[in-house]
Amino acid sequence: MGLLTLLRKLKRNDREARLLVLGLDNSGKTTILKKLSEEDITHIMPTQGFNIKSLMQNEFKLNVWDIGGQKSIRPYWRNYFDQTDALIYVIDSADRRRMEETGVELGQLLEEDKLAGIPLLIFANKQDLLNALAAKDISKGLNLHTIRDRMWNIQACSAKTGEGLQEGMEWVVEKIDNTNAGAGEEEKAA
Amino acid sequence: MESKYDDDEEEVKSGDYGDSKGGDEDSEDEEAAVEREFKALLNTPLKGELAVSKDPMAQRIAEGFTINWMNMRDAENGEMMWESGEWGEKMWRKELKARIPADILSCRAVSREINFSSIEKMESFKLEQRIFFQGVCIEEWFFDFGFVIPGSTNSWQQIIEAAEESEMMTAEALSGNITIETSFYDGDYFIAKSLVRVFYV
Ligand SMILES: Nc1nc2c(ncn2[C@@H]2O[C@H](COP(=O)(O)OP(=O)(O)OP(=O)(O)O)[C@@H](O)[C@H]2O)c(=O)[nH]1
Ligand SMILES: [Mg+2]
Repeated sequence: MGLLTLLRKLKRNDREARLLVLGLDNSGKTTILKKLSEEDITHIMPTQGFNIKSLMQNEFKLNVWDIGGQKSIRPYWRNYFDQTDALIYVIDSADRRRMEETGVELGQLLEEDKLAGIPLLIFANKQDLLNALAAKDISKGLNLHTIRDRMWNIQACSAKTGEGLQEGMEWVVEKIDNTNAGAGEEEKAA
Repeated sequence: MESKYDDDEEEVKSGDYGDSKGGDEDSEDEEAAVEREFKALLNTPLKGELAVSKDPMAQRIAEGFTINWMNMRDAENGEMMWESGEWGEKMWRKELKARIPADILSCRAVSREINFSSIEKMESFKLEQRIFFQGVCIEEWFFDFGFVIPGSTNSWQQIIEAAEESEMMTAEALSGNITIETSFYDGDYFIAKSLVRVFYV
């Protein structure tokens, strides 16, 4: 499991990809990325800027940008839109009170020219909590079916248990790999 | 090049530190020059000496910039192999020594992480990292961060696959001879530098 394992499976074309991880504060962005690297997740502090993971596999470089989600930091999100290949949006599925707020933020991101057309993965995080909404209920609540201008996917997950993380990342990496690799499918068959 | 070996004898483990790609374009002279420059660097207090900019804004940025800590992990299992602890002012003044279990050399992938804060906003923040073996650059990393939020604390973690078995050097050969130099810039303005000498124990 983990991002490295995923990268090892990629078609080996010489390039760089950039993933942007956004979502409200406390949704679990940083925890998800730490868990994917099998790191300790018990001492994570709110992100007061960005955390970047750069993974290099053969000539392929993957940069994952996790930006803090506090209200005071959100106005700076747009400084990190350039050259993004996929957006990962994290939702605290148990935070029903802020479901509308997270929907508004997501809606604004989807309007951004610089993020237009890129694949969107939504992590419905904290599924280990009893009061967590199911991914399909979040999907309904946020009207995700109205998204027509890009590939998107919602993945139920728990950064605490690790459940669903790999599946979600696999979807993202496959989408960016296919978008950019062109003739990749034949290679896979060979 | 002065070498600082540990006194105690250690079990030798095979391994290499990242991919080695250097050497090919280094003429003798260049190598000597690099080494001279590097040595000079090691022997001078870093802050001030390297603050090349007279631009007041750049100076403010440099003054408001702190490297908080660094660490290294086995990237396969996230296990911490080395933590610098809080550095504060210390990191400006001298080369830091990292005593890292030699086991790290047999890791299939290694993670290096650096955490830093900036009081000022930056528009085109970037980093250059060079790994030196006996003063010769064997690995280079460049990373463009772009925008830095005023008052922010940020981190950069690089996860590097180890070199092929055949390219590996022993812990004994590497220990005390590897230096990681990380320099930070805003555009063309130099902001800060850290130097870590790695010992495999
Ligand atoms: N129960 C549970 N708690 C989680 C899960 N994921 C994250 N948390 C907790 O939620 C809190 C916030 O996690 P972070 O990863 O810091 O959230 P973030 O989205 O990075 O927050 P900002 O950096 O402020 O934007 C922490 O206390 C985590 O332990 C999860 O899947 N289940
Ligand atoms: Mg965070």
